[in-house]
This record gives sequence, C-alpha cells and structure tokens, in this order.
Amino acid sequence: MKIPRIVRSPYAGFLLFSAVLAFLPPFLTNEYYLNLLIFIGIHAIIAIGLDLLLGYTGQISLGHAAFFGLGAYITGVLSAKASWPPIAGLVVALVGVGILAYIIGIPTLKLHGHYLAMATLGFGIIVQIFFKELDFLTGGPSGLVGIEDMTIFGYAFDSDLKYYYLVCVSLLLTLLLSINVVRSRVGRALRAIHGSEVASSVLGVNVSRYKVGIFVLSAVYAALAGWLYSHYMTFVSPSSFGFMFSIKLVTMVVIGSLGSIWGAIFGAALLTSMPEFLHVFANYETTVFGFILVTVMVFMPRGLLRGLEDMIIRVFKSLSDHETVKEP
Amino acid sequence: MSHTIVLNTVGLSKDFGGVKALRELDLEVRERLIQAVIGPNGAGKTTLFNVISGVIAPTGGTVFFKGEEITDLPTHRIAHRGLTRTFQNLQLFADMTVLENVMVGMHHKSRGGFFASAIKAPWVIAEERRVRDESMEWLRFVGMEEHSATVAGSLPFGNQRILELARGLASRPELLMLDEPAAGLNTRETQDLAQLIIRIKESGVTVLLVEHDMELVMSVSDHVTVIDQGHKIAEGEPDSVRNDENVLKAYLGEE
Repeated sequence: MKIPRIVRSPYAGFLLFSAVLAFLPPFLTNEYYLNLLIFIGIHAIIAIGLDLLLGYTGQISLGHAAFFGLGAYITGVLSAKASWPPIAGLVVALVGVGILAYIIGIPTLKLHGHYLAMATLGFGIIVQIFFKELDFLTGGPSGLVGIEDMTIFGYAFDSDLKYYYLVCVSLLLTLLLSINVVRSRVGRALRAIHGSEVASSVLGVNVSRYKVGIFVLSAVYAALAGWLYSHYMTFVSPSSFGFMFSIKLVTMVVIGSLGSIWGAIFGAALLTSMPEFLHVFANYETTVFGFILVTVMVFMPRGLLRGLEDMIIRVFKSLSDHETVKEP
Repeated sequence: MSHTIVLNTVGLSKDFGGVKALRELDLEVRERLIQAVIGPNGAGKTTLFNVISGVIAPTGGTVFFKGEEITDLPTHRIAHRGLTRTFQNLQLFADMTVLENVMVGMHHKSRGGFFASAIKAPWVIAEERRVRDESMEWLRFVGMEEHSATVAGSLPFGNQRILELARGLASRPELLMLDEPAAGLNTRETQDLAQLIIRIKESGVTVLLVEHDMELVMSVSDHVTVIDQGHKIAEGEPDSVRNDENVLKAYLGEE
C-alpha cells in the first residue's frame, strides 16, 4: 500500500495538529483540563529541544531543568523586582540562557557518555543552589513572588483560555522550526554525529560546533518554556527546577520515542497528564506510574510513538498479506 | 613524471606508549594516481591513515597536502581542503538512508546553517534540491541508485562498503584514502571494486589505498609503498615491489 505524498509530508501533521489544538477547548468538560494542557504545552517545548539534543544528536543532558528554571527566574526577577514587561523579560531570558549554554557547552560537550551526564547533572545542581541562595534576588528556598501576569504589548492574557492559545502558538512555532531544522543539512549533520563522530568529521562536519549549536538551541527552547511558566504561575520556587525534573524531561523524550519530535510531544503529554489521572491510586500512585513506564520500555523499547507505528504497520501488513493470498 | 606531489609526510612518527607505530616515515603521493600502502599486520598502515586524516595527532613529523602543512589542523578542516577517507571497520550513519548518507558527504559543499534552515530560506530549499540531485548522481556512479531510500544499516555488507566510498566521493575530494576497502568482500565484489577504483582515478581523484588483498593491489595500483613496523622498506611499481628482497622478508620472515 502506497501512502500519498501529502500525508507523509511533515507539514500535513503540523497542520492537523494546529487544527486540533485550535478547536480543542470547547470540547473540554472542565476548566482544569485547560490548565493541564497549558502544562503539557510548556513541557512539550522543553522536550522537543531535549530530543533534538538527545534523540537526534545523541548527547545527554541531565541539567535541562536548570535552563527551564533560568528562563523562569530571569523573567520573574525582572518582572517582580524591576517591573520589566514580560516581553523584555523574554528577550533577556532567551539571550542570557543562550549565552550561558554556549559557555557551558564548549567544555562540557567535549565529554562523552557518562561524563557528559555527570557534567550536565552538576551544572543543574549548581544552578538550583543559586536559586536557593541568592535570597535578595530570587526569594530563596521559599520562592519568588510578585511576578506580573502575562501582557504582550498591552494585551493581557488574563484567562486560562487566552494563555492556552499563547502556549499553543509558542509550541507550534517551536515545532515548526524544529521540523525544518531536522529536515535540513543541519539535521543531517546532527544525526551523522549521532551515527559516527569520526566519519562526520572526515566529511567536513565541525562536530563540536554542531553539538554546541544544538545544545544552545535546546537551552533556548527551555528558557522560552520557563518564561511561559513564570508568568502563568506568577510564582516560582527552586523545587520546580531540580534534578528530578531534569530526569522527568529525559523520560518524556525516551518514552515518547528518541529522535522523533512528535514522540517528544507525546511523551510530554503522557508524563504530565498521567500523574493527574493516577491520583485515584492514592498511595500507590508512584508505583503504578513506575510500572507503566517499565511496561512501555519492555514492550516498546523504541518508545511509544515508534511502538505504535510498528504495531500499525504490522496490522496493515497482515491485512495486505491476506489480500494477496486471496488473489489467484 | 608529470604527476606533481599532492600529499607528502616528512619524518612522521607516532608512539602509543612504548609502541612505535610509525617511525620517521616519509611518504609521497602523486596526483591522479592510485598509490597503495601495504605491509604485514601491525605495520602501522591504519595509524598512518589516522594521522594523515587528522583523527589522531602524530608524535613527530609533518604532513603536507598540496604543499601546505595540515599536521595540526582539525579533521573537518582537512576535509575542507579536499582530503577524505573511508574506514576499515565501517563508519556508516546506520540509522540514515543511503541517500542521506551521501548527502552528509556534501556537507562542506553546501552552507545552510541553523537559522536559515529553521526558517527555510528560499536559497536553502534550492540548495537542498541541488544536494539531493548531486547525491543521486554519486549513487548512480557507484551503481546504488535503487537503494537510495534504504536504511544504510540494513544494507548487505558489500553495499555498505560501496556506500562509504560514494559518501566520500560526494565530498569532492582531491585525495580519497581507502582503508581496506575489499575487507569482507567476495571475489566478484572485489573485482567490481577494482573497476570502481579505476573509474575514480579516471575522474581525476587521487587514491591512496591500504589493502591486504594483493590481487587488488597489484591490479589497480600505479605505485606501491611497503611499510613494516612503522618503517618504509620498499617502494616502486607493483612488479618491482613484488620481488623485492626486503618485502619478502617482512611478509615471510627471515630464513
């Protein structure tokens, strides 16, 4: 069976996804689901960036919660302490985090495997300590209060519905840029680095430059998510940006399917929403959650999205096999 | 001879701890010829390739490419100058398609960066088309165009070797170094490979070849250098090397 070209184009998926996001809110029976979707969107933005780094380029980061936190704190501090408008906070957060990621990335990405994991882990812990100890700026362990509501050029995003659409636009923009990057010369270079660093370099790929470049891009995505988070919550505290959240981000990408942008969104949706639905298990919530994750990895080692794809392909194959058998 | 020197090494040495893999090796490679480097196992052939291509740094000595020193250049810069290689133990991008592998070969013959790619600038779209078309041409050159959409890791071994060659060619090198291209190939595939190597030479590319298959070496090479324990022990035309006393000693041992 031949799949039509338009359906296989990544932009078809993108348009369909945009339409679903746009028309979803009226179907939500509960205001609370809108709140959940906002968090899913924010997490998905970080997960997409982390997937570019981990799934496509093969470089691990156990410190991405720190970039998320830096984005949130930079705009938060500017808003709460200096009354800067959110849009100015966004610019400073993106540029600041980008520069920091560049400086961190140059020495760190020379490391491989476990050493890279340890270095990024250490970075994440250090940043969290700064959040806790710089009391005069960050409000210390109890958190930063007084962050302004989101307004962009005078327009106030003063309801969950408006905020939902702001997050959707940010997510779709991130998604579109990422789809373009992975389907380009840059994307090929990143996947080539994942495949063989030495072969990439003898073909003229500047391996360290691309590694640092994608590290910066993924950090900037996380900072964008932090900005959205900060002005939605109007309160940030260090505990939201710790090691456990970094691990959760990696889990989103792995469970979703490494090296698939759609998988990253899927993983973010699953890992953000599942704990909410597992509340019914009360004390056993974490146990059930862990059991589900292990089950997925055992039966779908390539992640949920690819696992489902494989299943669908198998079903189609067995169907078309039946057809060919019938023909004389 | 009208062929000018394209690559030469002067006093090239490489120690791995106490092991001297290369000792004061002088090598000259002349343009538009096929030159083979042969020698017993452990002679330092692969080390030589790794040092020339910038994968590892030499302990001493210099490498000149087209008259300019490239000894301390990073690998990707050496590639930009027009020198690339294949690997004895294949280094394909196994999860990418055959065509994509070749397209990576054209990396430094194209320019699209992060920003231009992310916003899909019109010139990037045009460049992508050019890269795709030219890469297909290279697949046609090696006779693999029907495999273009196959995932590289699932190709038969012989095709994987050829794909690595096509990928190297796509980077339009002046010097292509082949590290045991016939290893693991059957007789038929080796014959096809010999034809391909000769066609590569005819297209104007210089070939430096490390190979154990003597039949292949003798049939395609214009010039043969024999090394043993990091030393050059003989060189010349295939026939003269074949009967060289030192070479026989190195391969068969002393009487």
